[in-house]
Amino acid sequence: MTYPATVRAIEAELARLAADHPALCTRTVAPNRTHEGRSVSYVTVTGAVGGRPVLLTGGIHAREWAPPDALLSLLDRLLRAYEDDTDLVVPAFTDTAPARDITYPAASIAAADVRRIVERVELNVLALINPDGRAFSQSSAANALWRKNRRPPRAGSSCAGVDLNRNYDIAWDFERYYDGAGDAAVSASKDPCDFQVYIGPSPASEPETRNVASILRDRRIAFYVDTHSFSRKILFPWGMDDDQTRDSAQNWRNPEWDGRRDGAPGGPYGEFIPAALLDEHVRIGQAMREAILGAAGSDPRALARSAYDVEPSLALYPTTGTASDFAASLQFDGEAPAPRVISYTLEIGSDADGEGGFQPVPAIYPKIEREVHLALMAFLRAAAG
Amino acid sequence: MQLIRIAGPTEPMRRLAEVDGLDFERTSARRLGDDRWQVSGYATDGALEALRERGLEVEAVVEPEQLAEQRRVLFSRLEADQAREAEEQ
Repeated sequence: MTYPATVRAIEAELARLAADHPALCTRTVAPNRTHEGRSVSYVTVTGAVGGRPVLLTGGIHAREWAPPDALLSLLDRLLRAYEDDTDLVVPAFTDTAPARDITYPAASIAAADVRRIVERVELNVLALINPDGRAFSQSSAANALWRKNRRPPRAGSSCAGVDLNRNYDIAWDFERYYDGAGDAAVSASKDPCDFQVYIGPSPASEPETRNVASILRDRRIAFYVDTHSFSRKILFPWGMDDDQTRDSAQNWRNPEWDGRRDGAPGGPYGEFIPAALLDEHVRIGQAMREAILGAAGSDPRALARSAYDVEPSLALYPTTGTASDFAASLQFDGEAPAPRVISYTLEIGSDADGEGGFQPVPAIYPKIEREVHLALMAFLRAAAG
Repeated sequence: MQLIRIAGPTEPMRRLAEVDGLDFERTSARRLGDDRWQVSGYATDGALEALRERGLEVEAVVEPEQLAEQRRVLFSRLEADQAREAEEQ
């Protein structure tokens, strides 16, 4: 499979992985077809019964081309390393674009860790959530920045698409949720013609959203990463408001706060997260960061270009209806799929250093890929316990 | 169209969604100081002008020609793959 992969190549690679590793790998077609009639499939890797359920996703935003490719190559490397009982090797990479080449050395994850992961984790990978959007984004340079899915326009409108990462059933109705300032800053819109962040006609209205939600619920996912680009960040809940650990009554379900949430750091309202859960997110996030940074070698330029920030999702713009917050919310909604859910948004790559923003060129893609592999292997090590 | 970084005080930076022709990546927001932020995004010429009119600083990260060349490389590869897939069907 060559980067950037077409939608068809991604589906073919999923089928190949399942066919080549039948004892370990099962391919499942998600229950809902997309608006354009495509099926979405994911693979489950299980080396033993009863592993901790993990979900890795990518491609929710059509224009972010690298994450699905990197998730599939990670699966390939993991399965081959396990079956051969060898280390998982992330090859060295030399970036030849700068005036002086930058070399990132090879890194390896020990065979014992690979074994522990495969035998103690039930690993689900849905590499491409939004195939319709990706196909559209890859149809011409004029469409390259398309972000949403391809929900058809309403009668009398020409505006297609929903931002799937605003469509999950958590604080979906942002106008009810925030005060005026928070409402003005929130990264969400009820206008179907909004090119970026239209939330859809109702919570989880989109088949792609329901596919992910059903895996999260049905498989009782306890560890989740949604892989995006770009900004070299490892983000953890919450995106709706700033985190606080003191007052459990300040939460997205409490109607007493409706219209009064500020959606900004500081301020009277903060989204509650138990202290132990916050600490665990910081700890695992730091391990993911260190995995990338620790494999960057000694060249200061490589180190600077491998430095990811670990921080809560809320920065300048509050977000509602996101996959990562929704996954985390399930542990509080009474359907608790697990005693706790660890959930991240991994934002890979950069606008700078020749990394190409949403669409890295093939020459730099191996750097992006290695960062995904190193971070997610650290995550999987944590999930394996 | 070019890839840019925008910097400025919190209040106008929280209202970037109002700028036509600007497609910014929200998670790229970085705090530069007490009341200053930086965000990356793709901008048309019209958006660049609107950003400057709002008193925001704009720095080009990938110039239009370079962005067009990156797209050319990517789409030539995609078109080759899509043609091969069509033949295989």
